[in-house]
Amino acid sequence: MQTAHTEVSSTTVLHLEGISKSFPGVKALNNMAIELRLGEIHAVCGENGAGKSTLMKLITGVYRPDSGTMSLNGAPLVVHNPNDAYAKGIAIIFQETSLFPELTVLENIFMGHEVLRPLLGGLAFLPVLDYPTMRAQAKEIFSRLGMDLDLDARVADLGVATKQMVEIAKALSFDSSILILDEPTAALTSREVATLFDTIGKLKAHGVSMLYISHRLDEIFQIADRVTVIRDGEHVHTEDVIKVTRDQLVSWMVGRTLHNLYPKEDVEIGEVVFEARDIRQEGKLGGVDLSLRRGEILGLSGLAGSGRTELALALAGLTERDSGEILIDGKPATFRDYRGAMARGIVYISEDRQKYGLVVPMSVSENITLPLLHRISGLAGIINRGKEGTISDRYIADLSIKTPGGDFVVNNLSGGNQQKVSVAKALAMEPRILILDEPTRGVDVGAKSEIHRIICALARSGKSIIMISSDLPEILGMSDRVIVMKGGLKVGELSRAELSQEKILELAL
Amino acid sequence: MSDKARASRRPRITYQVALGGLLVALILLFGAIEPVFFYPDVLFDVTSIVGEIGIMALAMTFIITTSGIDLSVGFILQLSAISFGAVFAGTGNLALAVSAAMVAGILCGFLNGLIISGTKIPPLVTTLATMSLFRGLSMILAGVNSFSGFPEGFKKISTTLLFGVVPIQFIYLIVLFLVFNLVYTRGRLGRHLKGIGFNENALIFSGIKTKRILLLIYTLSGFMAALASMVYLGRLSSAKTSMGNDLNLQVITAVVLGGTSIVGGIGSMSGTLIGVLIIGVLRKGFTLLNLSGNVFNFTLGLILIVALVIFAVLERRKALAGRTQPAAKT
Repeated sequence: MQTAHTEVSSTTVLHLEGISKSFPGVKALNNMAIELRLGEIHAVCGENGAGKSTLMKLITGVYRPDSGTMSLNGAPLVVHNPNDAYAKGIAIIFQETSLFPELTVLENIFMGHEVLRPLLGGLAFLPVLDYPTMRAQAKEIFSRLGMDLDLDARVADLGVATKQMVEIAKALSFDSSILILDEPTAALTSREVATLFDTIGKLKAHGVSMLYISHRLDEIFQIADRVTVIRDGEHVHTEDVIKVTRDQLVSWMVGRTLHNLYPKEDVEIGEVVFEARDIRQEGKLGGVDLSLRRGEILGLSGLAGSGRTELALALAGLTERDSGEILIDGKPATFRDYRGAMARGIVYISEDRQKYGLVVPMSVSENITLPLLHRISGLAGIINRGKEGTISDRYIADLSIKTPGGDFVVNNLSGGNQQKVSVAKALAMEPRILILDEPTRGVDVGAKSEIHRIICALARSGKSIIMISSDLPEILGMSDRVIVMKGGLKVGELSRAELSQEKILELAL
Repeated sequence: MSDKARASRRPRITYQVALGGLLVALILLFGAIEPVFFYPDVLFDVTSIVGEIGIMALAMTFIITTSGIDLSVGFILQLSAISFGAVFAGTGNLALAVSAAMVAGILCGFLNGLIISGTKIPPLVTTLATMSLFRGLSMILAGVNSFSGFPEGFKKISTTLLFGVVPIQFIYLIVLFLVFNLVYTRGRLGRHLKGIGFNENALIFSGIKTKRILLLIYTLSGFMAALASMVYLGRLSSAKTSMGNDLNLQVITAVVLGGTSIVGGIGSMSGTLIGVLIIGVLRKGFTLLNLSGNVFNFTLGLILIVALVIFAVLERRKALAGRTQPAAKT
């Protein structure tokens, strides 16, 4: 794995100064400054809602700053739109890739800037795609990345990490000298992360400057040269990574010192309330058993694709199982869909809140009450707005969701607060068994520990929780018991006393 | 309610108000050219000629809010009318004929709903196909015949004038509008429809049976088309296969003009009502000015395009300003 911390060049490539940007009701950035030097890996961190995304969107031309100056290699920089950013050598790699799944690696890399040649010599008005040239260029890029990839593979058939490599190759095909990586490791396994870091190291050696956004502090210490911390839209600190400690970084981010990231408390664990026996699903689950007690937090660990989410969906009745039995309080439960599962007190919170969790253009209160409208509307189906307001206000207060009001649109909230709305929506159904899929993915340190506290409080109040997480410290810190999955099977079960990072990894890999 | 949330909603209200302004302006314009337009019986006749499309547009607003569309409503209306005519001609039993029309409409809508909710075939393609299916079926049933000679009592459902000037269609439209508007703005169904338009997955993950809702609204659309066919027949007094051919476009134009987003999620029932009235005023005005149906069709197409372009540009502006979509409430 690449270890950075080399001497930082003194040549500035990208410089932003005095940048401010407001949205209706929110000041996203205030007098923000950042300086990116040639060939450095510059980490940007801050809580969700701190303004990182807005900053990146200004650099890539999605938004325009209200005030302030941007310069690229000493010349003033105005970016009109993301394509313009590409043309100027600035590329961004998003958490979710923007590739076309049905097209090949080669086609994806050159999408939008295909190399053309005349159909026949001299007939320049009849251009066709010049595959040999594109192929040669793509080969050259991948060899620079130190990778050998089948250029004719369909992107849909590739793993998440490989897709990301394709995305990076695409950026390089534009001759990008500045690369912005937005949470690139969020969906990667630790082995894939190592490959990515290796690639990043090679890019750095080729003089590519990178802005690296991540919530995972360990990564910053691993690969970044310098780090800039943003809080509430303002620049807090920029420092060489070797000169800061983890605690210092965290305290800059939250403006206070966080002592215990995992406030797991011991609660009395009661009787078995939920049991699944031999859950099978063709090609996904090969017969999984599981039991859950009252007040227990059961961690579900394993690599991405090990069947964790598939199991959760099957348990909640969101997908059909081929065989297997579910027992609630020792009696067979016969629900056949999610509605039925909800009626028995089982609620699932998706890992992808934008896609499955929330209707983001709708308001906070509309989202919270979405699954229980039948409870707050009369026979004629007319919603009792008073009851609706009471319920949403209660959960906004309980979970301290930062929103100007219940009728504020979810889309305008920060990621952490959106996640809390997702949790609020689940809690409003008053579940007994809560299945949380990656509850803190893409959420900042502050919101993360708040969500952990909420989970603990739920366990204390007698709810039973299944928590799926790729974040090992989270699994170790929060779980009473851990089930490790691999290839659609349960490969191990560890009690809190037996838990260790090594044991889990050994089982999962 | 916070100021911000209120502010994000303000533009939508002004759009509906502006549309109302356009309606008034059109009335004044036609009246200025042809003063007879201001006569109460002429003016109110507008509501009689849009009775059918108004009834269908209410259900269409539900459908378009879910980002769907129903291109077959005009032909469901046609098939319902033909069914009515054929059964009445065969049996002379009015109740039986009305039932036949209703059953035909409901079955057509149910078929649409079944295909759309049960498969992933887009509503546009589904209803394009069933449109031809329904049309072909009425042709087979009726041939070149037209059915007429309906009892006077039946015609009263469309020819009654209240206080001598107000067509009864106006009352139908207002009553149905109030019910649809209540469900749309305050009802569980309305909330679900907007949710489906924005993000159907999130509703499924909230335990909401979205397929059932889709089946319901397409069936409802068929039922409303059957209802509209009765109102239409009462006025025309003969059922023939040329009925309803032009109505799809009028219904969809009214809804889109009213501010319901073709991509789903956002909509306005009152906008639909105003859109329907604008189309009625144009139709009446063009007739008074002796402009042909071709000019009307041309204008209708133009309105639809302009409305679509305006909304597309507004959405783009909003995206560029870094804002997100307005609150789903209207």
